[in-house]
Amino acid sequence: MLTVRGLTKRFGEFTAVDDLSFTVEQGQVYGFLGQNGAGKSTTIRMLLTLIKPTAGEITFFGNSLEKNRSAILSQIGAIVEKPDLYKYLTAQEHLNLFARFGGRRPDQKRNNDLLQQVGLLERASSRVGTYSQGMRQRLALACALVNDPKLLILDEPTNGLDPQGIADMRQLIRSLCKEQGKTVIVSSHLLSEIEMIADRVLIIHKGKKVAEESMQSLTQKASQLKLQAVPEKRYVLEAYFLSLTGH
Amino acid sequence: MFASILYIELFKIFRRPRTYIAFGAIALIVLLVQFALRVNGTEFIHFFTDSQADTFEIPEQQILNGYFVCVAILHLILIHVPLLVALIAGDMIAGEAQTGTLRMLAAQPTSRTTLLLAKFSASTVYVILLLLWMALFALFGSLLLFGQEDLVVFRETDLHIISQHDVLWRFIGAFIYAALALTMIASMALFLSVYAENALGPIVATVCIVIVFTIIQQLKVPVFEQTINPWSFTTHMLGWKGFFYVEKNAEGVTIDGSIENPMALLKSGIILVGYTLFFVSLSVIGYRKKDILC
Repeated sequence: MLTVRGLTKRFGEFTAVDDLSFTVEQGQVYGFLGQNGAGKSTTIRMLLTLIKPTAGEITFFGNSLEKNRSAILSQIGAIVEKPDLYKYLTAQEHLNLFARFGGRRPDQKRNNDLLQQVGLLERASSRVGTYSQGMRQRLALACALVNDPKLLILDEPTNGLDPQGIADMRQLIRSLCKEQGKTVIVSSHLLSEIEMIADRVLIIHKGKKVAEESMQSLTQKASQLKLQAVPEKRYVLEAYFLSLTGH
Repeated sequence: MFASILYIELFKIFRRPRTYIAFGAIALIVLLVQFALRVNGTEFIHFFTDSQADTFEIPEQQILNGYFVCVAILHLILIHVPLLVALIAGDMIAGEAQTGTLRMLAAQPTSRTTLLLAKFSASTVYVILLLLWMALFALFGSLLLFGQEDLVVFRETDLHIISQHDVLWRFIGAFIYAALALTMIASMALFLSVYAENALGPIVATVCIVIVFTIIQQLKVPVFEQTINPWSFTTHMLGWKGFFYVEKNAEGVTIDGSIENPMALLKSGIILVGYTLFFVSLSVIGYRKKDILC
């Protein structure tokens, strides 16, 4: 589904992403982890052509992103960092707008289904300026889904959500993957969240890949390393992450 | 695809309350000028014509008609409209960068060139609608309020009387020409917008550039008259006046359907189109290369 080879981004002397390679298989929830400034957002921006790589190659669905940008992006839905939306537009209008971007005619029924799915149907006609951060996050997800993409790239999708919202988001991501066969790349600083939903994780530190493991193998490795502060399974990823990033 | 993106851009422009500030401002200014002329028309004619009206024997009621009022309004406010255009065009990229929507937009399956050209086209549509609005109030409103007569145009030591039957096409020409000039301003604001991440910067910069070149033009000193002014966009922005300068025959009677210097008008139009293409090309190049980090 996605292959990244030798991806590098330099801003002057500073190397934000350094020779990064990884592969994401179809139907996976792929966790993307790293501390603040590790290069997660820069990588995601390169995957979405927001910034140009200094070196390296990105291939989606077997096609080069550089040569097939529009065709590839039409199959990707994304939330990049905090969901900044048009405050003067309603949720319905946002979905219509994104449908048009994808070359589709706005479909009221599909919009309503999506808004129902993310719990915003009752506020469909309210301006986004009146939404809370969590509501905007959920609308951004609906916008990402409006063109029925094969791949979702979600950068910190649980930001601003309350505990129930986080649980709903988690369930939605799992169901998109398991029931609709979508591939989801999720970047988050909430390690326990990633641990609960990801099939595989990539950990980057100072722009470099330090680990790429399935959750199953990672659990085994962590227990072999006899990591401390691992009282129960849900903390495995956190302990492993901290050991890799030098904490 | 382009039509879809243009629709989206126009939809966004006309859903934003701030868009209507310009329409409101134009309506208000025009109505104020019309009110002032209704009350103090004589004083205004003296001011507007540098008291030339006194040297010609034309009844004041004949001078102060709908066409004359519209020309006066164009003189007074067309120079300020670039500010209203910059408010929208300068916000096109930088405003989206500032609010964070640019990264969402740039991650859509639309080429950056298409997106930028759609934004430029949307700005052009906005300019045209603004001028149609102005025409509605300034021309048709004035005709309703002040009636229809021959148009008297004062020039330094001369005056032209244009038959009322020969005037309407000149206004259409002047408004189309103004659209060219304001589209050029929109292209400049868009260009500045590509390189900024704060909407205020390109808006202020556009207005400052217009002010600087207007001052240079008004100084009328040889060093600028020979070097900058022939190519300055502010010189050519005033080219719309050329539609109201008419040829006269040997008896000094104005010739219907004529323009005194059509080649100068054409040259000014070409220069404005050239500037527009130059700024749009630079905007496309800049935006295609831009790393969207905001």
